[in-house]
Amino acid sequence: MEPTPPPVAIDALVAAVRAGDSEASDRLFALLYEEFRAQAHVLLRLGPQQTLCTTELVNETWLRLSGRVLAIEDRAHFVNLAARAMRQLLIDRARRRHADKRAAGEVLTLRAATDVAGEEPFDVLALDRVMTMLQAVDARLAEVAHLHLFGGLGFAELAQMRGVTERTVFRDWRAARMFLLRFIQEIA
Amino acid sequence: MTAALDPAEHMRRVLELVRGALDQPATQRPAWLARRCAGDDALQREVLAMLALDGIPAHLAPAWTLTQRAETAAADPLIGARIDRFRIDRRLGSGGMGTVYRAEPVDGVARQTVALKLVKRGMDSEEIVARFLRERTILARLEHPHIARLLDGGISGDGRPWFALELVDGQSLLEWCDVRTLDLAARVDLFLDACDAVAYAHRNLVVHRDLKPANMLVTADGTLKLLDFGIAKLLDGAAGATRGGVLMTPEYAAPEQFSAGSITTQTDVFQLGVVLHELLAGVRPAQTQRGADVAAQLRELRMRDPVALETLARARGCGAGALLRALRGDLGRIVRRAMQVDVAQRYASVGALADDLQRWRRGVPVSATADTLRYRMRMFLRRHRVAVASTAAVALALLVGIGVAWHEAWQRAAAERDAGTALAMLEDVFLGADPYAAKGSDTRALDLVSRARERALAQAADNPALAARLLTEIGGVYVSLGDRDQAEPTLRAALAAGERAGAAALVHTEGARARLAHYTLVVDGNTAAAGDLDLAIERLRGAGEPALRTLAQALDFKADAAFNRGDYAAIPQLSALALEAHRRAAGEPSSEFATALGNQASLLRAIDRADEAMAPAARAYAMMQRLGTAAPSARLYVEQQYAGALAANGRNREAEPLLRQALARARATPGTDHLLVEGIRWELANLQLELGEFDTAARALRELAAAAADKSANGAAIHNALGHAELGRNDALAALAAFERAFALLCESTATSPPCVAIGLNRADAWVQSGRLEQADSALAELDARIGADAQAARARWRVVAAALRLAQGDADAAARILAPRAQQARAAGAHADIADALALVLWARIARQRGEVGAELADLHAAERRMDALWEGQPAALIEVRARIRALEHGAPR
Repeated sequence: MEPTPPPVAIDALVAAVRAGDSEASDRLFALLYEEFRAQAHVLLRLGPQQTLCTTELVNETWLRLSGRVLAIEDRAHFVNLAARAMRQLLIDRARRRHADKRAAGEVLTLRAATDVAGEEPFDVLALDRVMTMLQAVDARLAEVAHLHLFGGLGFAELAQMRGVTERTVFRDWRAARMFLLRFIQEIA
Repeated sequence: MTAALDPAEHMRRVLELVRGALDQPATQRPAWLARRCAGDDALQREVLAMLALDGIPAHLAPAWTLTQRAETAAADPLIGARIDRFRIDRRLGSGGMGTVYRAEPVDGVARQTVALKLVKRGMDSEEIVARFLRERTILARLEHPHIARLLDGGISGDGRPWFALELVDGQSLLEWCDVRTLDLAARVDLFLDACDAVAYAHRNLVVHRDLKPANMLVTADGTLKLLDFGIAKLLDGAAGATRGGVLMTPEYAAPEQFSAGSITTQTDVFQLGVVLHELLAGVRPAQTQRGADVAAQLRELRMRDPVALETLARARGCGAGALLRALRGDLGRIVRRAMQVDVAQRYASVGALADDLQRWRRGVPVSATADTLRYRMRMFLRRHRVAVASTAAVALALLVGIGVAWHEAWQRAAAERDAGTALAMLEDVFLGADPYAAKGSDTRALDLVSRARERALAQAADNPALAARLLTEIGGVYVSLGDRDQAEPTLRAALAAGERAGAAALVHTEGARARLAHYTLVVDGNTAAAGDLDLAIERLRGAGEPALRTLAQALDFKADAAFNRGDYAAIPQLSALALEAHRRAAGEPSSEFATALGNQASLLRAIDRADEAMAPAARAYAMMQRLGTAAPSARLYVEQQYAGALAANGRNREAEPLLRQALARARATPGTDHLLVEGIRWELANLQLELGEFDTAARALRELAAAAADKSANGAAIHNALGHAELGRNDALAALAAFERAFALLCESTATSPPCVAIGLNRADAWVQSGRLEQADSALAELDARIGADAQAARARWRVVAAALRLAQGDADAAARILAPRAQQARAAGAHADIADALALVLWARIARQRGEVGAELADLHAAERRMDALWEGQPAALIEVRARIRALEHGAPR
């Protein structure tokens, strides 16, 4: 399928989001959700236990929509929305399938492309619940995990975005990951 | 108790501690945490449980996916039930057709716990049962130390077949290696065990077909066991091959398994290649890159996330650069060849794969590589890596004090990095276009180094900065090969080019200057070069951060030079400066800093400050233990220093096993620098001297003396120690020859330095004992004038030798006058007594005998015997004589 330039000026949307326009934010969210859904559909149709590389999805989606490299000052806004859209999409899918037929939630291998541990099979619904728990306990760690897993952000970029060292971001991710691993066992 | 807290608040606290703990080195985490938790055990346990999940791949974390959880959660009616003579204890895992339980024998003679595998209910179709029974048949024919053994089997009450296997209580191969941050060599060693097991299976006509890290468990004691022959195939058929089926683990499957091609033993070779890839690189080969370059995959990872690569590398005890280099080289080629899609290009057998890995371990060329010149040169340089890495020519050690030694080894771990740079540069600059590839195949690597030098020289006019850098590196190669004739002109050329280049080449220029000065100062004993060394140090100091490592080396040179000319007073400060420079250059903890601490300990020992040497030696030792994966040579060196410090502080019995183990390990490690081996042998010989094992010590020292050809202080140290050994063996003439040789080597020009005073005293002692009293007399008079008021050890020794001379001259009263303070000191020494004390007392007893004081003689003989008995393991002549004399006196028959 040849990508066609979208009718919306995505650059303008991102600029509006940056300026604090909440309507633009909603529109961008919806746009990304649709994009991801279309792409994930192709991929996930292949069967369960597929690998979804969030980094690639987020980056390629941007490129497809805008045709140029994302400026660093826009990146944070874009990735934030993209991560939310991605997460929402995965949850919706998993819920649907859950209702459909399966006893268990959908197991999806999320690959943030940068993880030391490589691909990690996540039960999406359980993951979402534990992420919400983490949000209540430590919002900062939750955000790092959210952006890394669903936004596909690497540690270097996360560090730049948050104005801390890579070491700090990596440490936060490790702590968050331990939390997820620890509690995903308990809540099921 | 923390339960009173709000749960979110409690979790926040746990997370805070987790993050704090991540900032601590892994070994210090428990202690750090214990302090923070202040007795709150529940909190501490919770944090530790969380930390245990760090870095564990999610699929290895317990109950990660819902599917697995559902299975675990479901009550299994078999738990607690009996199958044959086993009671089912709990469920261990579940595969496609069977479930594995942990089971205890109920009445077995051998009380071994087993893994009991049982066909799943509902899965007992004819085909599955047949496959299950085939696994049992296969296992029955395999008996190998690295394959989990079949113990028993049968049919359960409800008609399902089962069998019992040796229970392997271990971690998966990957996890085991990662948790222990094993380096590549150690990983390859473990992997070779797996190869051994697979090759054995092949010899028994069994193809495993499902090789993956999860099927290779490693027990706590490091034994690897291959498991799960569930889809293994018998190759009994005449064709020797069989069709692939649908059963496989896709991530590790060979291409022919996907395409239903022929399954042969080479299918296992491919799977082993995938396992090796993951084991070495930490990532599985990307689907698209089957058969492709493992290093390329990591380079790509580095582009995306350098931190991730750094973490992977650190888990392998090296830096990202070193990991990439290692995988770009032979290891990468071995993996690629094992994973060739085309079976014809793959290793023909597991044995061939293992053979190449063993060659890699030995540092010799592997078959996976074309035998190009460039390649052979790299192997040559790598074999000499430790040597290439050493920046100084002197290596052994100086005893020369009384029974202490100094082994100088230069920052090997850090220098390995330098050597890597040198290698990369030689390759990139000179061999990038492989200019020698066409020049015939018998060019030796050393010739290439010399041609590289010619090229660098040719460039000196156009690009003096690059030439300075290259020539310094090439000079370093020659220095380490002990080829001074080549090293010196090369370094001089580096210096000349560097001076033309100016500031751009400062570090290399001054590095070359410092090395040259070191040659002149230490090897030639010519102090004229001291100014050059100081100049280099001053400039390096001004050059800041990039010059730190070179500065640290120059300061090492300076301490070395001070030691060599006997300027002991300057040593503590110089050594502290060098240590600090290394700390700043390499950080702490680091292998380089630990080595520098070892250097400091050795210097302090060498200048008779053994008590002060203990702290840095112990610190270095502890640091190395903690680092775990330091270069073997650096580790051996630090162990040697620690053992040496122990021995110098009277802890011989702790030191000896350490040294023996270190020596055994050094000899077993291919490519260990022979100087390092000699250093350990030297240390051991000194320990044997302390233990009174003079024959053994003399043998070792004679061998060392024959090997030490240079005119450095090392040779003097060895001959001096040999003299002691010969004295202990009652061979005064041999001792005299040894001391004279030591003196000639070290003291022709600078007879006044502390080591020369010590050797002079030893030689005088040998003169007395061999009856050359006149020579002894004049030497002792000269030494008397030379020994300063503060040189207590030298004075004490002088008293003993001078008293022995007087006694030999028949003047017992004069001997008594001279020896009295020393004998008094020896009697008072008590628990801190050493052999010198015992020998002083023996001498006093001889004087007392001359003077007819039988009571005094007997008392001091007993005191001497007690001391000798406490310190010596052997039965040296001196002890036998003392005992004979005591017996004679006590039986009332003094002669």
